[in-house]
Parts: sequence; structure tokens; C-alpha cells
Amino acid sequence: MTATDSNYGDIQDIMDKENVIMVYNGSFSQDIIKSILKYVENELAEQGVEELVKRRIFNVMVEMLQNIDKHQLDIGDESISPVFLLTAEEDSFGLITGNFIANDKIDNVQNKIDTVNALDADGLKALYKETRLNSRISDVGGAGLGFIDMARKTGNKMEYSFLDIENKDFKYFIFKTKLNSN
Amino acid sequence: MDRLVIEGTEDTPSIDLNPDSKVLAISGRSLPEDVTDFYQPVLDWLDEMESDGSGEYTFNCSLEYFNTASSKLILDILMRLEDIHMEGNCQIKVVWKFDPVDIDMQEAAEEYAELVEIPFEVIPM
Repeated sequence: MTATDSNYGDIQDIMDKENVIMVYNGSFSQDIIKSILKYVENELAEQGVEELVKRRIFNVMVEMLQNIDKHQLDIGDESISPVFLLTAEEDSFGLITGNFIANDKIDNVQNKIDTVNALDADGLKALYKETRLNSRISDVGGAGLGFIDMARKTGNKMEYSFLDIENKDFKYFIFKTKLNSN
Repeated sequence: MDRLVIEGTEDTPSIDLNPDSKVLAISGRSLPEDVTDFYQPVLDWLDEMESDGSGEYTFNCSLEYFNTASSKLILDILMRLEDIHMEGNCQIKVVWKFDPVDIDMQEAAEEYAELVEIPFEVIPM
């Protein structure tokens, strides 16, 4: 079994155990993102989720989904694709993404998340302010603020892992965060 | 200086920069695929305003949502407005309206207000 198969196994487990609101597995584009957002907004409205929580979920989802779209890695195998999951747990919503990442990009992503995870609310606010002032929009259209913003909106630490794929110069990046429902 | 009107969509905001009423308005949602490309006409318009405009302008922002890339561009716009205001031909006031339920948007607006030295009101809708 390859790491990728076992990763899908994990996701299958989550889908069986948790109340999955949305799962998307496929290639990402702005149009797909808009459809996912629309679907989730309707679902959350139907479930009577509080307005502020709904807005925060929307916020975090956009950053997660656009990250995948902008950093999509073509691995030349269309049978394996990125994934997004939104689950409802007892007192929180879980947001999970999985996508391929080139090995030489891993340190940068890991450092960014670790830096953000080490900060409290005031530290996050200061880092957001400083980063926004000094950043330039990157070639793929990001401002380098996504992880900081997600941490501010959720108030929770982000979790991640990089799954090895044998003999490849990329790994599978699993990213999780959660948002308290009240 | 012509009026610039951009119709809103589900991922881009409505924009109306009106040189006659001197009201610059932005509302809706901002999560464009290419944020630089989307906001370039606005920045170009501000260049024209800098050279041709005069009098009192109001920048009305009532965005419901913006992503982090848009957040950078909104700061660019506010800083351009600050430059133009400082030069003296145009006086600019920012009025940022937020949905009272959205304390995150209120905080975001207040953070912008701290960064630019132009009159800046943050008020609930």
C-alpha cells in the first residue's frame, strides 16, 4: 500500500465517523471553489449555524481552497487528486485539506505554520499587520497571510502532516484546523 | 476622469468610483482569482484622481467579506488615498460600514483605520 492509499483510508474513516457536511475530491479551480462555497453556505444556513460562525467557516474555507488552487502541483496522475472535507463535530467544525506539495516547498510551509501556531492572539495580530505591510502579491496571487488569518479566525492551532510517497520528489500535505461552533 | 463602475459577482465586489458625486464605493465580496488584475483599474483611477481631482471625496466601504490577498490590495488602495489626501488637492474621508454581527470585520476595519492617517469612521450598518 502506498502512503496515498493509506491517506485515503484515513479520510474514509473520517467520513464514516464524523458528520460530513461536504467532501470534495478532484481538481481545483476558481469555479469549483465558488460551487463548494455556495453549497456549504446553503448547508450551514439550513442547519441554523450562527451567522458569525458561518462567516468564519467561509473565511477559512476560502483561504484553504485558494491555497490548493494556487499551489496545485501537477503530478501527472489524474487518478489522485486534492481533497477538501468539512465535518461537524459536537462543538466544532473540522476543516481538512489534502494536496500534493513539492519537497522543496515543505520547509517553508512548515515554518509558516509553526510560527503562527506559536503565537497568541496579540502576536497574530502583530504578525498579520507587519506581513501585510511588507508583503507583495506573489506570482500565484497570494499575500502570505493565509495561515495567520486562519489562526485568527479559528482561535485554534493548525495540524499538519506530510505523507511520504515512495521515490517521489513530492509528498501529500494534510492540513487540519477546527472552528468552535459557539 | 470617467466614472468607473464594476458590477459585483459572487467572488468580486461592486465598485463605483464617481467623479461627479465624489463618492467612491465598494461593497460585496472580494475573493477574485487574480486580485492584482481585478484591482488594477481602481488603482489606475486613483492615479487620475490624483492628477485631475479636487474637493471632498468619501470612500464608502461596506464589504461583506474579503480574502487575505484582497486585504493587501485594500491596504494599497487606502495608502494611495492617504497619499492623495496628503498632497492637498483632494480631501478624503473613509466610511467603513460593517454588519454588527461581524466583529471580525469591525476589527479588520479598525486595523486599517490605525494604519492610515485620513479621517476614518467605522460604523455598524
